[in-house]
Amino acid sequence: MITKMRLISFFILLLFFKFSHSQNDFYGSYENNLIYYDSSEDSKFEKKIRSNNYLKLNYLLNEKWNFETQLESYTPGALQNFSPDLKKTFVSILSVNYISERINLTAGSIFDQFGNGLIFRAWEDRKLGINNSIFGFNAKFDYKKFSVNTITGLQKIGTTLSNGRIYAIDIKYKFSEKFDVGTSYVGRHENIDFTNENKPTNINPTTNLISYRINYIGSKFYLNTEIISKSEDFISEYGFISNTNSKKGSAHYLNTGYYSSGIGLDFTFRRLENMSIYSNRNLYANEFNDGILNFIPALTKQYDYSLANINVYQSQPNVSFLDPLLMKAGEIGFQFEFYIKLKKNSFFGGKTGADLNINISNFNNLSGDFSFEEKSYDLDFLNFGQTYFSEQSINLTKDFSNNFSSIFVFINRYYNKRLVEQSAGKVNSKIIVIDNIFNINDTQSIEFDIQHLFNTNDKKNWLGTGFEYNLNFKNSIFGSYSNNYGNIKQKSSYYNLGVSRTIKNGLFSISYGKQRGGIACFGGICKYYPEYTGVSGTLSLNF
Amino acid sequence: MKKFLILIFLVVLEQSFAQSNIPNVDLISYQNEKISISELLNKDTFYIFSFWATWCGPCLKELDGFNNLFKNGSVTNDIELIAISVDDPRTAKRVRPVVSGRDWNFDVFFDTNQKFKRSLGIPDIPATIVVYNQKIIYRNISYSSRQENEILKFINDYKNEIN
Repeated sequence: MITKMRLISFFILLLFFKFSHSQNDFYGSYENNLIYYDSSEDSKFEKKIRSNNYLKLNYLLNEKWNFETQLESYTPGALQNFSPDLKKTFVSILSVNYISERINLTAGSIFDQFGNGLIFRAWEDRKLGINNSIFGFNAKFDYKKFSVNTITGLQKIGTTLSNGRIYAIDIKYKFSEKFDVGTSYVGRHENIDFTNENKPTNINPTTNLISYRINYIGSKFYLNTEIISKSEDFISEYGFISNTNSKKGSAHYLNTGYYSSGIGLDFTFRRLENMSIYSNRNLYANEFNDGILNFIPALTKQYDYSLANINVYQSQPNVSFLDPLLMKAGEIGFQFEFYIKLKKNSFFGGKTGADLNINISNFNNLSGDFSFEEKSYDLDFLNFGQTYFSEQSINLTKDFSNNFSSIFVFINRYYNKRLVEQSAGKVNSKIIVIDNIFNINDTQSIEFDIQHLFNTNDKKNWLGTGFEYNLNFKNSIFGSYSNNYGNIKQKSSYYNLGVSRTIKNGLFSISYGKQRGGIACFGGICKYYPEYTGVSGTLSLNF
Repeated sequence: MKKFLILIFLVVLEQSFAQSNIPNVDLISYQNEKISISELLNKDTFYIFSFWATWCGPCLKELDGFNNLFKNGSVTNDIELIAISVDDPRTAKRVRPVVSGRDWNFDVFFDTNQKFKRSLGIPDIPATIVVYNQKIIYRNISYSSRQENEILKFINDYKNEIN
């Protein structure tokens, strides 16, 4: 019924679009991501061509009303490893929004976040197939120094809505522009329907999360801290929701930094204990991030380079008792970054100056006494357990002349693959990247990089390279190649060659290649992608 | 159903036009104040909105390029650069250290849950739009070296056209 109503509303909006007298108040966008799969390692792979399509329309009325809708189409099927719930054509976003000076009201699809997103975030990421908007009502009020934000509704999951109902409120009080405090509540109500005789009685159908936060932003210093508690709820065991084992959860977050002309420092500490929350309990830790209600990304540094994206860390907020050597209750760790501008004509900066960035991060399992038999634990609050991931990296950007500049990257990384991915092995790797840009003239440029990954274990050494030739500001040719030459047992190489063109109000690109499979992360949220060979195309338009 | 939808889409595209009005959404300033786009814009000023994130290499290159042009005095007073950080809560904390560390001297705003980016239908970054008298007059996705010069040239050509 809701799906039909959404579809009807979409076409009403489309008719407005067609017959609007003031066309400037209507606008939209279209995005198409298409792949022709020549071959794939995915054994369930059926369709050769798959595409994800997004058509979004907005209508603004009197600057106070905003009508928004989005049609999604996955024909003949969604790209590999997108949620199986994403199929055919359906309306994914439909909302009416009213804005006045102090009130902001929305009915329909709601995208929002509270604090750092650790307690609640609804957002869209098409690369990951995430649209976890809440379909319901949202009211925001500002009164003097108070801001109140309330949300209630069901969460979008694929083409349907969640079983669990979401209730959420955020209150912020601003002492000044520099200093504010806030508190949030998120409740997920889902009836518990176990058929097992051991039907638990001690768990409330409503799971409650409460957060408290303080935020200070000065002219040179900032501090942000948030503490969240989550009420007792069932955990997942072997991919199924346990009806006998339940745990409480918590999150502790601290971010602080210093910034002044030419220098910047940032430090983040985070401790997570059983902090995942989904609108449907049975979606706990699913691989597609369906039904996710909060935002728990990996806090490690993100890189543009292909070899730096092998063995990336994924945050570990969940409880797991897979075997006596693989017991987890969350994560504890920190990330530190330092940025400095090395001035021109200085000792380190040389004639043209340079930008230096240093990054250090370390994330570990929670420390404590774990019992595999009883599926229980007694945790230490601030002690670090086994290391999941640690990294030290340095990044130097240097202009050698007006026409030539380079970026040098060195990464030293430890990745406990067995503990993070519940597979085999530990990785000790070192990655070197030299990325260069050469300006041929005012409009033409060439960018090329050389990368090497040194690794004595796991899949051993890799060599990689990438290039982009910009013929002008509209057209470019790009390519990449990587070779796992150190892996004597299973040597493999990957390649890609393509063109892209900026068109009026949009972008078009097409490429052919063999893509490496593995875990890919966007914005710290990760997903597994199978290896494939094929043609890939993207078209995005604004109108 | 599929054919019907394709037909509708083609009709719409056939009558398509570029989005010209800038949506009036709220942003968070570098000083942590909530400010709407309409409060931000003055008449007769060209605003270059550059959408970026701390993890986006090409975005940093574009903003470094603009910063050099503004520092060298190659840009007239009626042109302003506004960098819109679309960093999510994970990386937004790095914005101030990056801006200071690279010694940028232009306005930076936060679009943390990407409402502004979404309302403009921007699929990816780097992306740049130019706004003049509340209208979008230029739009570009992606970045190639020295593209900032091309954007300033476009604005100067536009100025000559309207004068």
